[in-house]
Amino acid sequence: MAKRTWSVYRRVFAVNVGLLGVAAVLLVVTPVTISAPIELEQAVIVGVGLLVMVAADAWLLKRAVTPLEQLAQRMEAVDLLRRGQRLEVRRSDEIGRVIGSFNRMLDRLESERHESARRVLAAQEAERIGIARDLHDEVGQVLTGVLLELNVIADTAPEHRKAIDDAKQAVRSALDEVRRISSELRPEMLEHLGLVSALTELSRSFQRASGVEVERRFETSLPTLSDDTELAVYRVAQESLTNIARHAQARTVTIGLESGPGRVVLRVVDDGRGFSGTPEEHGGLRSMRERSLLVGGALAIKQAAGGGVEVRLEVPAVPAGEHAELVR
Amino acid sequence: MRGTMICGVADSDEGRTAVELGIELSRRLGLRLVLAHVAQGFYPHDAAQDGRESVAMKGDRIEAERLLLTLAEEYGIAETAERRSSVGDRAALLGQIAAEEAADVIVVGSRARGWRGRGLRSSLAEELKATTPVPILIAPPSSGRNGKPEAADVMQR
Repeated sequence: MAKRTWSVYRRVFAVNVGLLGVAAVLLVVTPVTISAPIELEQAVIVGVGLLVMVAADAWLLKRAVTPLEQLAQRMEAVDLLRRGQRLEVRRSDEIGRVIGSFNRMLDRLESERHESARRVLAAQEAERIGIARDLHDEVGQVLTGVLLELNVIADTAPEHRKAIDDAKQAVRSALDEVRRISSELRPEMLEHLGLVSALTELSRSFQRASGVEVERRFETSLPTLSDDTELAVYRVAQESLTNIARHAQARTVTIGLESGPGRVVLRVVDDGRGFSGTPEEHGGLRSMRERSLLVGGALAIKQAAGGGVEVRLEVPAVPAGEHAELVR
Repeated sequence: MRGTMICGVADSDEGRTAVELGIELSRRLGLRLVLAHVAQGFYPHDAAQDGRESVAMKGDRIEAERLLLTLAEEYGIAETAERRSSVGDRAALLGQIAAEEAADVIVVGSRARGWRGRGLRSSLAEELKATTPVPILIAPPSSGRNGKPEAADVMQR
């Protein structure tokens, strides 16, 4: 309930009226007189009186405009990727009305952002699937064809066998790379074998590529997650591992899934160089926040106890009743 | 893992009372305990994120991290409790930490208020009401007899 308060104009006006009134009363009741030309003692009294009035005016006006400063500070700090930040409407004056309007605007912005982020991420996933399919079906087929051609040429031109073997090796490497990129773009294992298997494969692939030791701690029985939530968890883990490979200079990484009542927690912890202060949230980290937000999760990116970075994502599980519906 | 409790701590009697209550409750209820300290300061909200951390801000941040470690070691929870520190608007940032950690409850300290000190005063709890939907548990001041809080007041959302 907002308490009734004077408007800012009335408060500023009242402050000035009060000060002028006090000055007038002091002039009437005190024996101070000003002669012309002014004497030193009188000048000192006038100067001190002026200073006291200015200081009192500044103090009283500061109290009147402080709520505006606080409002501006909160407005600057609001981040649409961190939902639920609202300002409390404590007053009924212009500031209270601005806060109320600001809260309603945040409601609309969050809702619109949620919808647009959902569409963007859905389009992104669809495009990834399309690219993965093209890579696998088109580029992969072409490279396989080249490999077969090279086999035929090797049989007909044995004098070039060394060069042809080198070419075959290069084509095989390219095929492996195409398969790897394709599987990163479209985590088929997630669809077919579930989150734990997909994360196991992802972490093994990361270990092979980066040389960083990975320790896996997956609980055996986890609550059921929706498809969107599983994909969000997978993508956050993938982005975390990518960041570790690029920036962390880590020797070991621990990736784990644990369960709680109605929730699942993903933890990715490295022992790398960490960060000081707050990590810069650009591209990858913002995308992680978007995904977390869309599935109603909570994402923390923080310093790990051992000095590296810990990414913790907590997501809601499918409620038990709904899970039974899905199974039937 | 049954839930998460954020404990807003400070280097004061109220802060220590909050830590004591947080430790006690998190043990009894099996909650994950996160000690959080925000060094109050008026810095641009995105200064640290943009790599524009000033010397003063960095100093405050290091001091906040040191305070959390000292308190965790003092209460013997350095290995079990997690720690989060930040610099800036304490209510906004504590609310942010609570959101990021999916907190189920936030514990803060208080001072005695009113006739014979029977009421509780927690300016942080008042500020937090506007910045987080997470329930806030107010640890009452120590009784002075055994150093433990006597009861807790809950600000239900």
